[in-house]
Amino acid sequence: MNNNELITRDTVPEAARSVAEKAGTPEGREMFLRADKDAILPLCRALHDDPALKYNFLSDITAVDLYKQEPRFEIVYRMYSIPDGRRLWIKTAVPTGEEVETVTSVWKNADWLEREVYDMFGARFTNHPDLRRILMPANWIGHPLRKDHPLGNEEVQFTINKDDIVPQTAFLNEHFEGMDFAEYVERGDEINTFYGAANMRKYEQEGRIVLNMGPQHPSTHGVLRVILALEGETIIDADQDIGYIHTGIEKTAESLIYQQALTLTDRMDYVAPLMNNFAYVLPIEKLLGVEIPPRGQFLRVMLNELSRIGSHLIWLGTHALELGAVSIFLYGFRDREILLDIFELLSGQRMMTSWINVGGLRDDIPEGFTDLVRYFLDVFPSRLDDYHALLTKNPIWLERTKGIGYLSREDALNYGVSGPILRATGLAWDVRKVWPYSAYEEFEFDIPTGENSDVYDRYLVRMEEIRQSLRIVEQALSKLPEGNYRIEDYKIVLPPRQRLDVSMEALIHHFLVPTHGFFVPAGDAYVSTESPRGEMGFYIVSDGGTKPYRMRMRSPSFSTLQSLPLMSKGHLVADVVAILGSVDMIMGEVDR
Amino acid sequence: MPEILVFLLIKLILVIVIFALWMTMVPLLIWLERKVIADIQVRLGPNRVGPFGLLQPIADAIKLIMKEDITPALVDKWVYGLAPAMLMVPAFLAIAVIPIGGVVTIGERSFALQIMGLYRGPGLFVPELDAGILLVLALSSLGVYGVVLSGWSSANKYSLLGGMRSSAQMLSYELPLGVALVGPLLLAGTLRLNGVVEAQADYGIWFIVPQLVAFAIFLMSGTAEINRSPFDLPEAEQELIGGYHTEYSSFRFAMFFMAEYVNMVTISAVAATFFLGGYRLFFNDIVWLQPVWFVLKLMAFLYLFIWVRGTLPRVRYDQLMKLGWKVFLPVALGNLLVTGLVIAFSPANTILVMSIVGALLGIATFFGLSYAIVYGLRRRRPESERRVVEPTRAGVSE
Amino acid sequence: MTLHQIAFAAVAAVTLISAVFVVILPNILRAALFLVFTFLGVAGLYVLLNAEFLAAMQVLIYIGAITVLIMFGIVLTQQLMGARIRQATQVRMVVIALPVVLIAFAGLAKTFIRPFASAGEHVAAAPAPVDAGTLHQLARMLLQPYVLPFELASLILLAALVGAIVIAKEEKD
Repeated sequence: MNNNELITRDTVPEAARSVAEKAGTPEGREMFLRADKDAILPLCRALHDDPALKYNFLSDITAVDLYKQEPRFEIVYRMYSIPDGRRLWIKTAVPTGEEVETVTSVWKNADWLEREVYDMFGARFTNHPDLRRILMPANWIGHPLRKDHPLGNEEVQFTINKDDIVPQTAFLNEHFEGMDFAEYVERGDEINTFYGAANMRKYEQEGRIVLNMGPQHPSTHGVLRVILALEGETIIDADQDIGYIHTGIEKTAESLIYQQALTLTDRMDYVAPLMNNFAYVLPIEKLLGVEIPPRGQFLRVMLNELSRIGSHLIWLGTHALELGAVSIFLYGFRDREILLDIFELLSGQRMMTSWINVGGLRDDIPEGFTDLVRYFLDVFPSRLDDYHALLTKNPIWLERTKGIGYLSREDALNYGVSGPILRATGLAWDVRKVWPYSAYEEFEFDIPTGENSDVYDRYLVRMEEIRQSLRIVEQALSKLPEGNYRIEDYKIVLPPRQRLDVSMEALIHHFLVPTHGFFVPAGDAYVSTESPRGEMGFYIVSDGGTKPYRMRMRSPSFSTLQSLPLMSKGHLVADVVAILGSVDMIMGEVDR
Repeated sequence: MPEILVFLLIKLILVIVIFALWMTMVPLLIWLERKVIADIQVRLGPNRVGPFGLLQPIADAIKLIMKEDITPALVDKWVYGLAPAMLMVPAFLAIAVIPIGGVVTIGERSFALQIMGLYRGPGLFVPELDAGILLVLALSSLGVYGVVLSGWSSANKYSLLGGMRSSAQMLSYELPLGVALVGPLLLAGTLRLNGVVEAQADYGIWFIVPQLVAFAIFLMSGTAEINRSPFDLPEAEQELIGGYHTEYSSFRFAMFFMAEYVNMVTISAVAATFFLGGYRLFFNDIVWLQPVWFVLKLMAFLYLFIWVRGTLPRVRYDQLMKLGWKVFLPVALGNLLVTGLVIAFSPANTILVMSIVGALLGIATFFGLSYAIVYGLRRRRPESERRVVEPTRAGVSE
Repeated sequence: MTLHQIAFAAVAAVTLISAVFVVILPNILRAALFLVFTFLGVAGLYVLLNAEFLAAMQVLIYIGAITVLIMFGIVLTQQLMGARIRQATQVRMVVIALPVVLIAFAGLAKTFIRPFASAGEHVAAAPAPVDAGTLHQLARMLLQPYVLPFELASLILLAALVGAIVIAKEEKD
């Protein structure tokens, strides 16, 4: 379908029919639509409900601020049809001050995604059930991802100047007018419990216990705050408060050149930083139109899978720790230590390696690298068997995980859940197989799936994924091609050191590439990758310059976390801990 | 010297000796626990303070005492201050009835190596209270107060949940704990701990064989009663931060900490007394060496507790309750019934019959319980939700 | 005074003072806490009367189970449901009631027990029972002459237990 044609409210049925006609053809596998903002809701509903189309998975809603143009905001919807593997983009233009109809009635996870758009851009959504800030504090003034919102130079609040800072005082005045300290102490519990979660207040009025779990709680993997309404110890409702480590990476990236912004991505999913690098460079390379040599591709895949194992080991450790098996935690970290040694040998850094760059890798693998990876492949499988022996058939472990946190496949898709949790519902959906990127189509591996979609099945799926990753690493190592590990376009990657002595051009590039950066053709691109937590991808909008105009991360945990109340209702407080462990979210990636 | 003063003097010396023994066991236990756990978890454990880190518990104690004692603003100060003592005092009192050795004779006076004893007039040293084991159980039930009151007075929801869980847990597990001990008591024919030990020496067999089931139930219920892993729910740090002692710091926290370890030693001591022959070996040995055998048996149990902690995940609160009421209690009652029947119908060679029956019963119970836990008690989802989803790969494009 | 009498005075004082606190303290949880001390005192009295078994049972059942349940109820109600329960007893009423109780008690004691004067001596002069006598005697008493009341009592408790389960059980549609 020609994406220049604007769909209006009246032409929605025709547009849906036209999409349906192309559903089976290669053209229909990836489509772009432009829609009038009034047409969004009917169009989305038609695309979702039509049995021939079944766009049942909303991957992302995000916006771009076209500052100084009108209509100012461009809102992008991206949806998939699972398991057919068809993708669809919809873009719509929204002028300042106007609203779009919400699509929460079509896909549940639109709730948080729209809240984020509202929080970051100030674009409002009509009929949204609960349109409040999500990442920024409730007292924040302004919408940070707007181009006219300043970056930096904000005054930091300390005791000496706390009254001078407007937002805080304004917030206190609004919510707790004229409260003195004694009263604050008296009502402190109430204030803390319902800060940013006024919707839970109704349960306390009904005489239930409302329990704050987090943000400083040992089992919330960082700084997630879950507000639980309890009947005894049984959960009747839950809400989450996120954004405690929101560091504005998407905003910061807009002021950095592409290579510099790369280092920010390490800090998002800090458990598997190389995967973020990988996901970030792919859309940029797509915009640049470069092809990475096979050796670079294979090394990328190998590092990616080693990261996945490392991430799953942390998941295993913390999951078991939260259920009281402390030893597994330390075993997991012992094995991850070898992986960190591998990364250290590679880059000198243990975690924030930034090793996968636009155009390939930063450098080739050093001497001894393959030996160390071989060593890991030798010792690790038997240890994995030990962990199976300690947990898989352990009655207590079975008691704690079987039948806990059930999530039906329909709900999982509706909430935009991807990764191992979606696979545990029995759906073999893996981006590496569906839309192979890099060189994944050349590797042999299986997609483990579960049957019961509970905590135990997620455990089994992830444990099996570790084995599959080992298989991939093994293949990558044995089939590693010779050749260059990166492209040879020295406007993008640094020229080799020895060329500087003989080539003036190389010298110039060697100066320009790190300081000024490289130009990326104008346009936008998004590539999905499979992170340990699900579908991760970066949406890069370029205006033709050397800095991203907009960088957006589709973070898997952000969507998955929304389904937490659904999974935990009817269970006990102790089960929330098990469920959180099985969700395996990384707050750095949720809050960004 | 009046007789009563001699009695008091002897008991005073015993108090000092036994208390000193216990007070050395506790730091040693803390050190041992950290070392063993570290070994299980491929770490080094404490190794900075003293040789092999042996002085680490002392350093910890000094650190805890020197810390600031914080009382949060909204607590009930009176109860908040009392709670740690309510936990610690019963824990220490229970030491009194545990015999660490047999009857020692000095001159013409003989007395038992234990703190508790009654003076009933001239010439009548009763070696111990008639109802020795009842006192241990009674005192362990007093420990609930420390937990429930600290949970309530802390003005913290997590503490309160911890206190609630704990009181329910301790109340529930007292029953199987007590009933499990009735079997050995029936065989011994006395409630006195000394008598139980001597009975085992007379029969020439430790009660762990004829009362294998009771032993297992006692050990597991005891673990729950003293809140040790895998039943450490009241303080489950991954769910309830620290449970009932979240808000405590400094010396008051040290009191909770100490009470837990003292309880652990006490439960191990009772287990050693009832099932491993207490202070006696099979043959008659020197009385003054008996405390050594006792401590060795005690250490075996302590090691077991530590080992379990390093291996197993934690059970959930409702599963724990289910286990206590639906499994441990009926099984313990069944064991009691079998023991009673054997004693009633085979008075001649009771212990031989009971040993065979007990061992068979133990094996049967082991398999029965394993089956029940793995297949029977598992929480089931409501039928409406229990849809088995078939794995599909058909729709996925390769 | 003999050692025995000193011990009796101390235990009796603890029992009585705690009992008064149970009645007059406005904070119901603290009142329950003093109930624990009262029971402990009673247990101490049993020990002084050479009834160790009864003392142990007093601690095990009254303190270890019954008062814990009372406290459990208080803690759950007061803290979780937000209802603040205050004890209704007024000190004024206690002052009026105290002489009445004392007179009544003295009358009862005069009638049923031997005169106060000889009470202490009676206990001290009681023949010291032989080792392990009381428990065996108790068991024989319970299972031989008093077996019917004993069994009846357990039957009543069983009935109460079943009743409690019936009441507590949720009605299923």
